[in-house]
This record gives sequence, C-alpha cells and structure tokens, in this order.
Amino acid sequence: MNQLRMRTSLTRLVVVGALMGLSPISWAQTAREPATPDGWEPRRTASGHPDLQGYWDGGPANASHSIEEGCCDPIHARMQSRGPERLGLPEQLIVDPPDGWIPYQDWAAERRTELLYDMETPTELGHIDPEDRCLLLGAPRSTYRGDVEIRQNEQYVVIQYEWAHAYRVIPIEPRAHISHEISLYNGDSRGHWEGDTLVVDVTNLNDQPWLDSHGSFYSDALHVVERYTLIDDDMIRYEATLEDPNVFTQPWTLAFTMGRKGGEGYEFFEEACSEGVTNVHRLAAGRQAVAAGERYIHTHDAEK
Amino acid sequence: MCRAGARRARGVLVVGVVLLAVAAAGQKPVTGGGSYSPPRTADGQPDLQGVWQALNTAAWDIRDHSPQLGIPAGQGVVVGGEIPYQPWAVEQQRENFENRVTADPETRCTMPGVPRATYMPYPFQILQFADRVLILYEYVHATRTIYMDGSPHPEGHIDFWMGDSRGRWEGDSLVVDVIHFIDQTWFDRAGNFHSEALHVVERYTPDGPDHLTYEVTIEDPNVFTRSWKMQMPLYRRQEANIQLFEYECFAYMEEELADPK
Repeated sequence: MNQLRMRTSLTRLVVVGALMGLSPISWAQTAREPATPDGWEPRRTASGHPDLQGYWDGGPANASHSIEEGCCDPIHARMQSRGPERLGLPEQLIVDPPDGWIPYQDWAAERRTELLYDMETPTELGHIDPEDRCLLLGAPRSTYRGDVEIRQNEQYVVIQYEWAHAYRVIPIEPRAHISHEISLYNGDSRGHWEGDTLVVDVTNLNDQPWLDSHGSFYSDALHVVERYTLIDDDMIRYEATLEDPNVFTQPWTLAFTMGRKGGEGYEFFEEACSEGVTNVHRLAAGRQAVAAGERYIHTHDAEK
Repeated sequence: MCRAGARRARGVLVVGVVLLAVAAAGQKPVTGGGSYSPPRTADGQPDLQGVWQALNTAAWDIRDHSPQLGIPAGQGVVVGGEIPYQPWAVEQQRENFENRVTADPETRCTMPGVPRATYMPYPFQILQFADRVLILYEYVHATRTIYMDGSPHPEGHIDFWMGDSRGRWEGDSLVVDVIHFIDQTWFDRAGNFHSEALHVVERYTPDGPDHLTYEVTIEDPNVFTRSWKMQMPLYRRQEANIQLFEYECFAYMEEELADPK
C-alpha cells in the first residue's frame, strides 16, 4: 500500500501513532548535519560576512510536490523528466519533529485530507495548487521549488528565484516589520547575522500559498525563521522553522543543503509563469465533476 | 525674500553658464544640469540605488493627450512629440487604441516590457552589485538583471517579456542595451506598440540626490521609420520606510474570473 493512501486513510491513527511514538514512515536515510571541513573558513564580503552570492540548487528533488513524501509514481516522474528511480524524497526534509510529518492540529489534518480530494475536482481557486496558479510561493516553498540566486551588498540580501521570476529584498539593517494589516504572498523579510549564519525573520504572510502540492496549508499567522549557513565553498545549509498557532501543534523545522550551481557565465533566463495560463477551465471541470458526484483522492498509486 | 531671490538668480546664472558651455562645445544637453556628482558605492560605482517612481501620465499615453473619465490629461514623454510609425503601423496603432479595453496586454497581467515597466504607476528598486545591477519592479514582480561585466547578449532571437539587458557606465550614467523582446507588449494603454525587433537603449542619469533623468532610445525597423526617444524624470520615493510590496495582477484577476461578481 502506498504511503500517501496510508496517510490519508489513517489520518486519525497517524495522530494517535505519533502520540505513541510510532511513525507512519521509516526513513532509510535520516537528515543529518553535514560536516564542515576542518579549518575551513567561508569567503567573506567586504563587510566581513560570509559570501553567499551565486546560483544555488533549490531543495531536494520532489520536495515541492510533498515535503513529507516527495513524489511520486512512474507517471509523475516521466512528466517531470525524471528517471523512475528518482521517486520519493532523497532524504527526510522535516527534521523536527523527528517523524518527518507536519504537526497539524486535528482539524487542520482533516482539512489537509479534504484538500487532497478537492485538488482532483477543484470547485474553488483555493483547491488548486498555488504553483499552478502562478502565485508567489512564499517562504519557505520558494526555496525548494527551483533554483535560487543570492546577491549581497551593504544594506540588502536579495534572493531571486528562477521559478516565476520571484524575488525577495531582505534589508539587513535593523528595521521594524510592516503593519500587520498588510499581508503578502512572500511576506515581509528582515535579516540579520548571527555569527556566520544569515537569519531571516518572515512575517506578514497571507494564507494563500501551500508548502507543497499536497495541500499543506498554513494561516496568515505563520511566522517563519530561515537560517542560511555556508558549510563549505559550494554548499549552503538551509533551515526554516515554522510557527503557526492556528494550524500546527508545535513549531517545526525543515532543513536541506543547497549545492552551488552553474559555472562562469551561468545566468537565469526569464521564466514567465502566468503568461498564457488560466485555471478557470479547471474550475469549470471540477464543478461539473462534483455536480456529477465524482470525488476521489489525490494518489500516487498508478493503478488508481 | 531677498536672499531667496539672490539664490534663484545665482541658480539661473549657473544654468545659463552651463547651457552656454554646452552650446559652445556644440553638444546637445542630454540630461538636466550635468554638474551633479552622485555618491559612490563601496566599489566606486555611481550610486543610483533606491526606490524610484515616475510621476507622469505615460502609463495611459506616452503622447500628449486630453483628459477623460479616470484619465488625467498629460504632456507626452516622446521627444519631439511624434512617434515615427510606418504607414501600416499608424493604422495598427489606431486599431489597438480602439480595442484597448480588451487588447492591452495589461488587461492580461503580463509583464509590461521595457520601458513600460519604468512608468507604470508602481515603484521599482535599483540595487547594485559588483558585476550586475538589479531592477526589481513592484508591478507583477517583474525583474531585470543588467549584466555589467561586458558580456554580450545571448544568441537569439529569444522572446523575453522584459528583454535581455547588458549595461555599462558612461560617466555617471547607467546605459543599458536591451534586445530579445516578445512582440506582445505595448508602450502604454493607448496602443502604442512595437515588434520583436525592438531595440531599447536606456540612460539613467543622476541629476541630484533624488532625481534621475531617464532617456530611452527606441529602434524597431519593422514598425518605425527611424529611431525616436522618450525622456522623463524619475523621482526617489521619500518615505523613510519605503519598500516594495506585491502587485500580483494575475492572482487578483483569476479571483475575479473564478467568481464573477
């Protein structure tokens, strides 16, 4: 039985199981802190901070499909030009809690399961993966949806995402967050250095983006703290801690490493997203299907 | 009053002298005074960084136009006033204008292209780094990386909404050469247009701590009989807490389409 279906049909048991210290999934390889070479020192900018600049691989393969399970089945793999061997997550993405699952409150776990149905027959925009709607994906999903470019100067760290030409301008000088009356897809970012780690505090997020294509949602109370640490010349350790008292039972953390990408002359090309796209026909089809009594869950089981 | 008058007189005198000097040298003044020297970045570049915005009516029509409901009158930003369309293009522009309510790419929330992004009524931010300048636009989070390392445009043709930008410094002016455009953007809401052969050269010249002169040369042998220019000032946003937000046009449009009111 595939893991997703198990997850879906046993949502309640998973919660109980987690309480009993059981995990619905056992990882062949658990996430671990990669070692920094002895005596290694990061290259530094003129202002003395580690130089994070350059192009970086987005997070692990398949993470944007599901941060709990990755993706998928041979059909999905072929659609994404990946070999059939590249299914699932290469390593556990959620490092805390240790079971690797998002610690949803009961009502939120139920809603997420509902979304796994709704996404197959969407009747409202909120049932469609925000990625398909070309929304800005917010923090942290932007970091594992595609490649990332970091630039630094005295006042700012600018992060550009190749996917949908998204960007974030992160002021480094002390500056208060904007009014809580303003909510944004990518939120409001403020950065500071803790030793050699860039720490970015993200607030003012709206509740539209998901954390992956599996309907992993959050509320506009989400508070994200990201940590970017250069661990060797060509590797960044990325960590994001998510806190949302409306939706999660506890703060939780995902982490992965990002390898340096590209050589001399490597550049991002423009990746227009919404140009020529519409989701209205998907809503029409979904509404028709639901009216006809069709309803089924998103699954990775190819024999569905 | 006396002192202010004297200061003004001195200002006029300075401008007069500069104009005389320019005239004597037989040059056309391309920028404001030309005497302003901008601060430098740590690595010595003229520092044009900040959040800027146009304050004119070019978003509606880059030419002189009368007021209408919701549209303020405005004086054009086209140098000399005339856009030198080829005869067929005069007709095309007229058709675009008549169909503008549905035909303007802005109604589909696409990236606005260059130079239209500059004078949309939204702020944009210039950020400088050792080998590149970023221009980030609030409107539909359009972005441009202007490579300053002497690298050539990639081979093409490539249909980019925002083109491919390669820049250099000429004195204190940032000069940007832009090609590889898609033919699906307009210059304004009045149907002024171009083809994929569009070649844009932009000059951003600091005229004071809070002003840039933005001069654009437009070349498109498929549409115009000769090259032509736009010119306008850009203003630094003065709010101490200014920052770019989001204007996710496509997302808001889909919300409307999903549940028409």
